[in-house]
Amino acid sequence: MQATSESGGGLSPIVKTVARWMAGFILVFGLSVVLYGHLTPGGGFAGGVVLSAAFILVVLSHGRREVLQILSERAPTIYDGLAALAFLLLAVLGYAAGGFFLNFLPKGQPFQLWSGGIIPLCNLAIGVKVGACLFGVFAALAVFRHLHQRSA
Amino acid sequence: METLPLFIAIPLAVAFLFPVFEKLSLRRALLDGLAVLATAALLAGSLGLLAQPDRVYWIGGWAPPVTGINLVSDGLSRLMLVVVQAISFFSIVFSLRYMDRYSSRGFYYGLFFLLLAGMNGVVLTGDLFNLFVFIEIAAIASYALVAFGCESEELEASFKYLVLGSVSSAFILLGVGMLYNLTGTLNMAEVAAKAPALSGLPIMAMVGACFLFGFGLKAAMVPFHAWLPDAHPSAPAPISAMLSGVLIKAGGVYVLFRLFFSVFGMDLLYARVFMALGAVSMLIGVLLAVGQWDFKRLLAYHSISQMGYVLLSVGVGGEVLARGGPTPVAALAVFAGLFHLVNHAAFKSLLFLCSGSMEYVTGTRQLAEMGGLSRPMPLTGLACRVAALSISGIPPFNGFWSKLLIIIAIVQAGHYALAALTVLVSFLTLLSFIKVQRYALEGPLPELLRSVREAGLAMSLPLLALAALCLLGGLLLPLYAGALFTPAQEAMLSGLNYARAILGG
Amino acid sequence: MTAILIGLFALLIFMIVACLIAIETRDLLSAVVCVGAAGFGLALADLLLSAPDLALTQMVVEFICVVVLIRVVVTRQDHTHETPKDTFALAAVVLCLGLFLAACGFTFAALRPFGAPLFAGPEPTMAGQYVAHGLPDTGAVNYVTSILLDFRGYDTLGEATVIFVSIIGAYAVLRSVGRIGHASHK
Repeated sequence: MQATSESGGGLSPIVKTVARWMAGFILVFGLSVVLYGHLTPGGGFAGGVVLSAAFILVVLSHGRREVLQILSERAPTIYDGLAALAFLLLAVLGYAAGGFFLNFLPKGQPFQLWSGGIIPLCNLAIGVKVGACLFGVFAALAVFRHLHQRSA
Repeated sequence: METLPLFIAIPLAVAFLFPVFEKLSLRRALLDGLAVLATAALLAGSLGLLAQPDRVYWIGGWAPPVTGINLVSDGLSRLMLVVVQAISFFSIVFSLRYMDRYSSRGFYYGLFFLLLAGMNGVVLTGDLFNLFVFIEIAAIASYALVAFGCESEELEASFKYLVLGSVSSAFILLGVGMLYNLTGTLNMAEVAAKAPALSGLPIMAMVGACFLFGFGLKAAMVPFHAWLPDAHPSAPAPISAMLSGVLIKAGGVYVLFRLFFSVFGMDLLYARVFMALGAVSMLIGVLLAVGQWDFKRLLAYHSISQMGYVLLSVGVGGEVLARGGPTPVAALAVFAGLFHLVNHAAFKSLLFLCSGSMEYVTGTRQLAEMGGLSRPMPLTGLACRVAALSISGIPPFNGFWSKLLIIIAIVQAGHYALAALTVLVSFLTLLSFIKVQRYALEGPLPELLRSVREAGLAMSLPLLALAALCLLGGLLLPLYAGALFTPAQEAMLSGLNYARAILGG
Repeated sequence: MTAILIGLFALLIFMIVACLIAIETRDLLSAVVCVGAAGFGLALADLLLSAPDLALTQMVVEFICVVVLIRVVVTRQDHTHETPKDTFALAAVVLCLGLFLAACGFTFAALRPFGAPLFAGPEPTMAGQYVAHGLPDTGAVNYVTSILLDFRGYDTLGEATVIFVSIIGAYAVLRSVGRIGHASHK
């Protein structure tokens, strides 16, 4: 197993299929942790890590070679940057509405999914950001490092 | 229109955008233009702030009693803000050409603006935990920038810096945690309001020791200086200018001043510790610098020494204040310290940029391999001379005036031995910069460097602008001291009144 | 309360032992597993202290870190143990640590006792205000989130930026080519 994984070919088809199925469930779980962050324990940071786990699972099972065909080296930093920008944008929208980081949306009914004003949106932005970020760390160490070693 | 949050929001937005730009492979001119524009706008904004009165901005509208995080614009933070924006503007302009030697301009700009955002956040914040968060942003950006050349010795320097920086951050966090436990608040003004009731408890000494160690390490005061002589020279020259010119001030000395003057209240013990750290840094830094042959390493040691001046002078001010001495003497000492801090930002950035300019064309940092550079590179040579004269304290440059004021203040405070030490260190500084002049600028041009030329206007202009600041900063002091230094000095001398100024009542 | 304290101390000892093994072991894989164990202990401690948000985050972060680290170290050898041990440095470290712990033991008595959280005290504190105003003023049922993203949302922006700067920094340092043109000062 180790030899296959090191050459970047991925694991057996059974593992790949199961991993893909699992990844879907992990994604859904991660999203629910992110979206219900203002109602239950969790939130953007925890949920984002779960989201990244789904992608890491797929990469680990499918191996480097397959992943490199569909993933560019820049992708994690771009999603990271865009999500961070979205978070900052929420803060700046508040600034336009009267104060930096002002919670300018209606607070809604407690215990409803749409409550807490900008909080769910912030959670979503942080979730994407943290997910992209942790996946980026993994990708940098496990996928792209081999690229550089080969080219160097 | 409230501008304070923009000092953090603009650099952050620019930094977040750079990975996207890198992907779009926009033209280089566009990236450069955005970077210059952003730093220029921030510089203009910070200068505009100087004309405005002190104010507090509660983020998200959470003002006491539901205390959120606040941004504070008082004299001291405005002074630091202007210095940070000015040096970052000059460094960015210098980078336009200099960073041709490095790959991945997008990452460079991204990290640069994160460093800037971190420092602006530190300078403006009025909240202890927020201070820690932004110090971490600035510190992590600087770890990466130190290793930006990706060569093994740079990685090693960066790793050393990272380990020591993390240790200092851990102590800072421990200190913040203890203060929170004791006072139930993270807001500096609220802590300051409760500080007198706590003074005398042994735990406050522990908190003070944690902060002194943590921020002393970030400011590279002797004996916490081991990382700086490796880290600062390893970075690309504009980053060395940022690190030596502003990061050790915004992330170290400024926070020490803010915490110990405005939050804890200066007492005799802290003031003496400041003086001791300052005096030791001043002397050891210069002694280590004299023997250096690597130009940037020599400059790095001088950073330790010159920041020692600042800490010593402000410490003397605090000591006079704490023992109930004459206020004008304390005021003069604090004023001189702040003046020297600004001057050091100007001439040390200039020196690092000069070293970068020379390295760019000669490919070496070793003084022994240079020589005669003032003929093929007249502008760099001129700027380098001005900076060397400033740092050595030769009239009429700015370093002379601030050192003169420091010595007068120390003598008036009655510390004659320290004043003599200051003069001695000044002399040693002159000695080591005579060496720089002699080996880098004078003498025969080595055969290898015959074809050397000035690196171009984009690199020379920031040098000349900073050189002009070094000359005029001293001569025109009476014209701008009232706008820049007096409010900062008053903010520090008012001590615990900081709490009343922010919380009202 | 005492049961929680006993559990906490047991976890603390477990974590310290795990960290010491992680430092001392010669096998990188065991070191990673030990670091994971220490992190898992921290997650349990968070649960004991009734902090489910923290426990959840700590747990998933720990899992991911261990997976990433195992993926990275699985083919690597640790050569650091070949450098001889410096007894003087070790003694200095132990001495400093001892002094620090002694100072902590001497001074920490002034801190708030365990089991008396800041928001429950009689005097007005930041935490007390956040708990009182959390639901009515922000609309978020989870107090942790209301503090994280509303009262102190600016801090969270900073923390998100810390993660961003770390990954940008890591990518920058992991570039294969750092310098273009002639190699300098070599």
